[in-house]
Amino acid sequence: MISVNRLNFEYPGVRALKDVSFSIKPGSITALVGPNGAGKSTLLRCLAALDHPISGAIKVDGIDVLENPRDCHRKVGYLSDFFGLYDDLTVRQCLTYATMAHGLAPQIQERAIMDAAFRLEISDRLESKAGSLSRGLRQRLAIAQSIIHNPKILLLDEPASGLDPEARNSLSKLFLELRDHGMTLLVSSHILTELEEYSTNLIILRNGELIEHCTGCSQNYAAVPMRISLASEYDGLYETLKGINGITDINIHVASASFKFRGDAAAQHLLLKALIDRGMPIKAFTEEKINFHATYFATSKNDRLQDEDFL
Amino acid sequence: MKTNPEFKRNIWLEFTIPRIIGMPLVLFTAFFFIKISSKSGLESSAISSMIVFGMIVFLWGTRAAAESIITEIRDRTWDCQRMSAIGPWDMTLGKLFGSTIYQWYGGFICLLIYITSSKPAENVLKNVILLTLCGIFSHGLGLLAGLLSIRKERRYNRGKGSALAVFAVLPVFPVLLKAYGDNISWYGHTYNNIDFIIGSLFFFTVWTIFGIYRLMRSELQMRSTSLAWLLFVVFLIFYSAGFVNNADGSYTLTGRLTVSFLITVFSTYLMIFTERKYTVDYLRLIKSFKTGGCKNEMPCWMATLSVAFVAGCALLFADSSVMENVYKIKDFRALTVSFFFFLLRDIGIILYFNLSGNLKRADMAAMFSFIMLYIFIPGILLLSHYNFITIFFWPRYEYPFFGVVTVLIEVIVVYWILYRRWNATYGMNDNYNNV
Repeated sequence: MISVNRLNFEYPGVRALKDVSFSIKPGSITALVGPNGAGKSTLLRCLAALDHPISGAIKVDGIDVLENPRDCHRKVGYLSDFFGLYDDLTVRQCLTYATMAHGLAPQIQERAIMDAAFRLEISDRLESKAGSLSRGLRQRLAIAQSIIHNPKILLLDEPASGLDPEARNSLSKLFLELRDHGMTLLVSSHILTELEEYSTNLIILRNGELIEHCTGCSQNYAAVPMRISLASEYDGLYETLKGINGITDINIHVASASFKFRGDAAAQHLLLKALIDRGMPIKAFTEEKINFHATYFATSKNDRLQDEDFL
Repeated sequence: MKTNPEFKRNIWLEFTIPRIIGMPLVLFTAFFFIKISSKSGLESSAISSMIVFGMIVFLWGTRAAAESIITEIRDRTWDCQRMSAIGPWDMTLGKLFGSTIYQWYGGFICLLIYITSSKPAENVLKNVILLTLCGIFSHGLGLLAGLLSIRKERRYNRGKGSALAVFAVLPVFPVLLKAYGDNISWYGHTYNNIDFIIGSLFFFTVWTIFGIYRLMRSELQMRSTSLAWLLFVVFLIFYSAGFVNNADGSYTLTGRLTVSFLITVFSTYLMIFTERKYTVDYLRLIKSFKTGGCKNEMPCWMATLSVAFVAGCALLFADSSVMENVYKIKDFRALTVSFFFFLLRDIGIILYFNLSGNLKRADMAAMFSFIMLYIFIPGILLLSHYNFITIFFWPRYEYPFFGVVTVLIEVIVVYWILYRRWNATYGMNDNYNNV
């Protein structure tokens, strides 16, 4: 869905992105993390065809962003870290303007407005002025504006900053819902625990360089990290697991094991059944979420670059 | 009919019920007060309506037009607009007429008062057209200035809109004065002043709107070449050359070529100061020279410089005796060459400051250095009776040969220093080889 190849960007006198390359598959949520000044916002702006890099290539849903930036604008929704709203317009007017600005046909505008307002839970605020909304509601309105044209890709720069835990939780749910509707999301954030809630991929940037691109955590396309806990010890645990197709990276502990398994929910069910059929005393069978904290700080340590400002 | 989203948004913002009621209420009350307090009655209403029109449309409206773009930067809504499907024409017209719609609402009330209180014998219709065109022209200049300012620096400063509005509204007043002055001679023909000014304003307004459209294209990440700007320069040459007439109505080719050359020199200075000068843009330009397709990357100042070169060359082949006899210039050709070399030197100085990395102050530093080079240092030399040494600072027609040689040396020195700075920053750096 998104493919970036040797991307370089420079502000006058400062190289903000250095040879950044990665690709993101459709229907995923990718977390973009890194300390302040790492180049996260610049990368998102380049992907949104708002800034022109000095070299490299970007493809978004098959569109060459540098050659056809206007086509890219139609496919992408973008929410900047300092999103702006027209404070003197009502929520309905803001959304109506967004539908017109994105070229939606007049007959579907009202429906798009109601859909976006419903998704973002701002239906009861349609007649309120944008300037009178709380920070959380303004955030929701800004996201509603970004997704009103149903873009294939949504780029969000620090979407949860300044939100209370409840608002963050509902934002996480919204991202998962958008992903389930087929949208591909790239979310930059400082709050790693929040990213763990919904992200399947992880990109770490530091000083403009990509230092980690973890796709192993993708639930749909790659091996899923899993863990089993046993009620008692089981001889031949390693051999049994190794003999099952799709299992890799096995780590055996006293009464538990972690491994990676390539397969969807149905395949996981069959795996559990197969293990029980083989007499394994399983008391817990869980899919492990990627530990962004561990991955981030392990990468940082390896890179010998610690940033104490980063959460 | 397709609605212009930007225009509609502006109507939502500008036309609230209290404002719709407020404007006519204030204006009619003011005009009624003027009418009953003045002895001349209708005449005073007509004059005051024109003055109020100027205040509302020229001053307030131009400020609104200039701010229509820079407030988008302040409110951080511009990126959202850039990513929308609104095309450059819709954005141009929506901002130009949408942001000033309320001022036009007040302006039309003033015009209504003017029409009803003027004597039929006066040029009422022409005056209305003239005022309306002046309004659109100054609004266009305001929006154009706003766009140029955000292309150079995406930052909002309090008072920036007002400063840009002052710049944009300034050309309107001499135009208005000229419209009520003597008849105008253009390409040997004499035209009624107001008719000529209305015609000229129409063309300049169209060019201004077209200029906004071109800048808007660039803002929306659409590729634009310098061709439209060059066409405008050609139009400006054609328009200005028409005023070069001898007293007997005849003209000299040399005079018109001189005007053409000076216009291209002035246009080059204008564009190099107004255009963004990011070094990465020049890296791309260098690459495009190697790979072809440089027309998309060439800045307008560079394209204009090439036209200045052509105009200068044309002037070298023209009959210089006319200028030499009339203006007592020793060698007009040498003076032309000096002018061009001074232009080259100044471009080198501007680029040198812009290579420093501190773009915020680069143009200002270049401007200060020009004030020193063109005013203070030669002024001190003149006052100290070292007239000859001023050939380093001014194109001097008294010393044709030395004038050309000294400025050529300056050009070589400036570009050598520029080359060194470029090489120190970019030339030897492997990171830039793949740009």
